[in-house]
Amino acid sequence: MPKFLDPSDVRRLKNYEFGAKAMVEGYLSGRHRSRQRGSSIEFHEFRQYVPGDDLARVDWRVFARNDKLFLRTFEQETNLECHIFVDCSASMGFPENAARLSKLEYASFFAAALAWWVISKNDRVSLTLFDQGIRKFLPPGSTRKHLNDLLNTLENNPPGSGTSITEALVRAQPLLKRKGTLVVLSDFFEDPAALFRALNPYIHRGFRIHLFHILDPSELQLDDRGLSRFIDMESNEQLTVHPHSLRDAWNREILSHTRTLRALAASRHTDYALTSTTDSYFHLFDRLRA
Amino acid sequence: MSLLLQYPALLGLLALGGLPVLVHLLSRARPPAYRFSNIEFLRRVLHRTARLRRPQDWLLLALRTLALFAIAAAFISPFLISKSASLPGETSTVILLVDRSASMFAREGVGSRFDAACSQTASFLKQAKPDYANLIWIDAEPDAVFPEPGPNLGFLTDLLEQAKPCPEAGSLTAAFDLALRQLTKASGHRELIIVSDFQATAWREFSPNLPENVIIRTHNVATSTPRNVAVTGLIPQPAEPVAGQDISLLARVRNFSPDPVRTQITLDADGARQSQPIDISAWGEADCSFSLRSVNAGLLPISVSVEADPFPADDARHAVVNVRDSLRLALNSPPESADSMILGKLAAALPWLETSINPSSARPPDIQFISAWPGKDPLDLRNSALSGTTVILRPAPSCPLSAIRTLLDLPADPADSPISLESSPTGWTAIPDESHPANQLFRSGDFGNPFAGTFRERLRLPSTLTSLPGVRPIALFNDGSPAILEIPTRRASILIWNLPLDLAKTDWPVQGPFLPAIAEILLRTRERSTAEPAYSLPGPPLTWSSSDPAHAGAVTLIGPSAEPLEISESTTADGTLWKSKIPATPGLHRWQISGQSIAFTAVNFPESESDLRPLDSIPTFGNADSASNSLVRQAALAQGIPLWPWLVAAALLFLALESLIHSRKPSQVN
Repeated sequence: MPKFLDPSDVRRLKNYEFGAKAMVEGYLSGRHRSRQRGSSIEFHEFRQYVPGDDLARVDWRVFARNDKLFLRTFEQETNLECHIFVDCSASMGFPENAARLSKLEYASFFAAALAWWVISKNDRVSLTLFDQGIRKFLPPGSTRKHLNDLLNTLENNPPGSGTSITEALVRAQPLLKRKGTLVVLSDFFEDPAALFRALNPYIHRGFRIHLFHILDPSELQLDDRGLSRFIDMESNEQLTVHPHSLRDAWNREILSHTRTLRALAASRHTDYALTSTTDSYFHLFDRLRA
Repeated sequence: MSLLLQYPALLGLLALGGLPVLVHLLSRARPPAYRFSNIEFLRRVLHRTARLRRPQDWLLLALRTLALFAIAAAFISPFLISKSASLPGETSTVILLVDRSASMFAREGVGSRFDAACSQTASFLKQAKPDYANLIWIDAEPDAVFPEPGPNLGFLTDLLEQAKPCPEAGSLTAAFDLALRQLTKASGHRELIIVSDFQATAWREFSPNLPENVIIRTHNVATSTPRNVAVTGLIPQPAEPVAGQDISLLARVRNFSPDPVRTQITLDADGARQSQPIDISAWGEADCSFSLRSVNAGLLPISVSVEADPFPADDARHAVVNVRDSLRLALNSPPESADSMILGKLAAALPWLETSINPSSARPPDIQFISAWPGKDPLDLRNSALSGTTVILRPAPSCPLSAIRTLLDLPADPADSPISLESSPTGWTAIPDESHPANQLFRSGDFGNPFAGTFRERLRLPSTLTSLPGVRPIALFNDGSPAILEIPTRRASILIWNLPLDLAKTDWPVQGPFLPAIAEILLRTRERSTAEPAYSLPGPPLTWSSSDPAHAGAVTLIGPSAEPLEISESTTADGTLWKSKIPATPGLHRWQISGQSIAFTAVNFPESESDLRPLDSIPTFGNADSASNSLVRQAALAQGIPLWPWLVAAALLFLALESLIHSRKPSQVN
C-alpha cells in the first residue's frame, strides 16, 4: 500500500467530483464541456473565416452557396488536466522529529489523494516537485501505472534545500502543453509579488490556479519555548531569540503575509487557501469542487 | 551615618542579585537549538521589534536583578544608624538647649519659631528615649528643669508642650556653661541638642569651648525672616526738663526687612497722642522727632509705637522722663559779692531756679557758677561738666590762660599771655551769636539785644579763644573779644563768662532782656542727653524701693495691660524693697499707692532681638554632620532605622514593574 494514499481517504474521495466551475481545457467524456473550439463530432456554430484559420476547416458547401468563407466549429469534449506542484524545499520538512506530519508529508498526502481522484475520473494529472528549481517532473497521465509512478515519486522525495517557487514556475511553463488546473502546495515563504509575477503567464494562458498554503501550527503561532537558537532549515543561518517576546509580532507578520497573498490571489481570480498541517486536507478538495 | 547588618553571616545572599545576570549570560551562551522553517521572517520581525524590545530586555534584567538583590538584602536586615549613636548598653544623657529668647516669638507659617522648637524637641524626646535628659532654656537667666539630667522624659515633654517664649535676650554663655557642667558630671554617651533660630545678632560672635567627647547637634527652626519694624531708641532732650520747658523727643525706628517700609509712628505722652508717617529704607534706620511740653513737674511716661507687623514684640518703646520743678544753681562766690546778689535776685525771679551758696558735694547741682575763678582744678571742673553739671566760670584776672586750655582738653601754649583786667569809661557792647540756641528767642529782634547795655570792665581774653576747637561763642564784644564762650562736653557745658554783673561796671542787669537772656542761657546749655532714660530689660523681676515707711504694705504694681502684678515686699537697710514675682515684660509698669502712680518702670524690648535674620550657616561646633533639619530623623538615626521593610517594598515594586513591562505589548509593529 502506498505510504501517502490512505484507503479510508480513497473511500471518501469516491463520492467527490469536480463541479461546474471545472469547465477547463481537456475532456472527460460526457462530463466536461470545453468552450475551446476544435475538431469534434458535435456541431457548435458557423463562424466567418479570418486569415490564419485552418483552411481544412472551411465549409466549402456554404462557400459554394454564398460565396463567403465560413468555418464549421464543434463543441470539443476534453479530458481534465491537473498539474500538481509540490514544494520540496527544506522548510517543508518542518517540523522535524515531531509526532505530527511535516508540511511536505501533509502536501504529499494531499497530492497523492488528488492524483488518485483525478485519475479515477479518467482525467490526467502531472506532478512537479521543486525546491530551488524543478527537481522532478512527471508529465500528465491518467493510467494506473502513472498513478503508481506518481506515488513512488512522492514517497522517495526527501526535503531538499532552498526554495524558489518562482524559478520552478518559470521553468515548468514550457512543460505544461495544455492549460488545466494548477495546484501549488507550498509554505509560500516567498515574496507574494514575485510569486504572482511568476504565475501571471499561467493566468494568461487560462489555467485555473489553486494556491494551497500549508503551515505548521508552530508557524502559525510561535511555540512558547524559552530563549532558543533558531536554525534555518534551508540556509542553516542561526538566530538566538526569545520567542515569547516575538510571539505577537510574529502572529501579526504571518497574518499580514497571508492577507497579502489572499488579496493578490483575489485580484487575479485565483484561489488561495491557508491550511494547517493538523487540519484535514479534505476541505481543500471542497475548494477544487466549487 | 553608617550601615549596620543584623545578620552579616547572610551577606553571601547578596550574590543572589547576580542570578538573573548569570542566567541571562548562560542562556545567551548555550541556548537550545531549534530547527525552524524560515528565520528570514523571524529576522524581519526581530528587526521591527528590536528598537522597543531591546531596552525592555535590559530593563527587565535590571529589575529582576534589583528585586533579587533587595530581597537578599532584606534577609541581612541592615540598619541605618548615626555614627554618633550610643553603643548598645551604654547610658545616654541628653541635654536639650532650647532657645526661648524674644526672637523666637517670630511667626513663620501657622506657628511661631518657639512652637516649632518645642514641638520638634518633644518629638525628639519621644523618639530618641535617652536614659537621662534635661532641658535648659536659653533666656536672660538660663536655668535647667532638673538639677541634673533625669529619667522623667514625660515631664520634659509636658513642659515643652506648655512653654512660652520670653521677651528677653538669651544668655548663650550662661546656658552653655550650665549645660556643659551637667554633661561633665554624666557618664556614657553624652549629647547636647541645641534648638534655636540661630539669630545672627546673638550667635555670630558666640564661640564656646566645647569638650570633644560630647556629641553636639544643632537644629534650626528659622525658615525665613519675617518683616519687622522696631522702635529701637527713645531719647528726650533735655534728659530732665523743668516744668513748662519744651521737650524734644527723638524716636529711632529701624526696618529689619529687605523691603522699604512706610509706617505710622505714634507718640503717647501720658495720654497726649501725636503721630506722623515715616518712610524707612530696606534694612535702614530713621529718626522721628516729636515736640511736647510738660506743664507739671513729675514723672512723665512716654510710649512710642509703630503699626503692628508680624513681630509685634518690639513695635513699642517706653521711657519715663523726670520733669523737674526746679534746677539747682550753686554759687561759688562770696555771699556779699555783686555776682551773688544779682544771681540771687535772678533765682528769685525765676520759679524754676533755686540757688545755694557753696553747696555740699553730696548732691551735685545742675548749674555751678564760680565767680573769680583763679584757674584752680580745671580738670575737676571738666569732670563736673562730664557728670552733667553746667559749669559757669568767671575767671579772675589772675587766672592763667593755660587753665582755660586745660578745660578744653588742649595742651598749654607758651605763647599765651596772662589774663588781665581792662576797663573803658565808654564801655563795650556785647553782641549775641545768632547761631547759638541760647539766642534763638532773640533771633527775631522782637525782644531786642539780649545783652543790652554797656560793659565797662572785662577780662582781656584773646580773641583767638573763639577759634579754638570745641569752643562756641554765645556772645562777643563789639571788638571781637569773647563775652560768653561755651565749651561743650559730652554731657553738660562749661561757660567762660566775661560779662560783669556788678551794676557799677554794667547796666545790663537792669535792662529788660537780662532776665530772659540769662534764663535762656541756663536752659539751653544744660546737659544734653545722648542716651535713653534708664529702662529695664525683660526677664529679671522688677524692683522698686522707698525709704518712706508710710509706703510699706500699700504699694501695688500695675503691668503694661493695666493688670495688677504680684509683688513681694522686703525690708532693707535703706527702706522697703518691692520685687515683682514674675519676669518683667516689655511695657510701662506703674508702682501705685491707692491708685496713684508714684513711680514708673519702663521695660523695653532688647534691640538685639529685633533683627530676626538667622545665621547664614548654622554652627556645627566641630561636628560636620550635626546640623539637620529634622530632630526626629536624628533621633530615629540614633535608634537605628531598620531597612528591611523598605527593601521588601522595593523588591515588590521592582517585581511589579517587571511584570508590567513584561506584559506590555510592543506597540509599533505593523
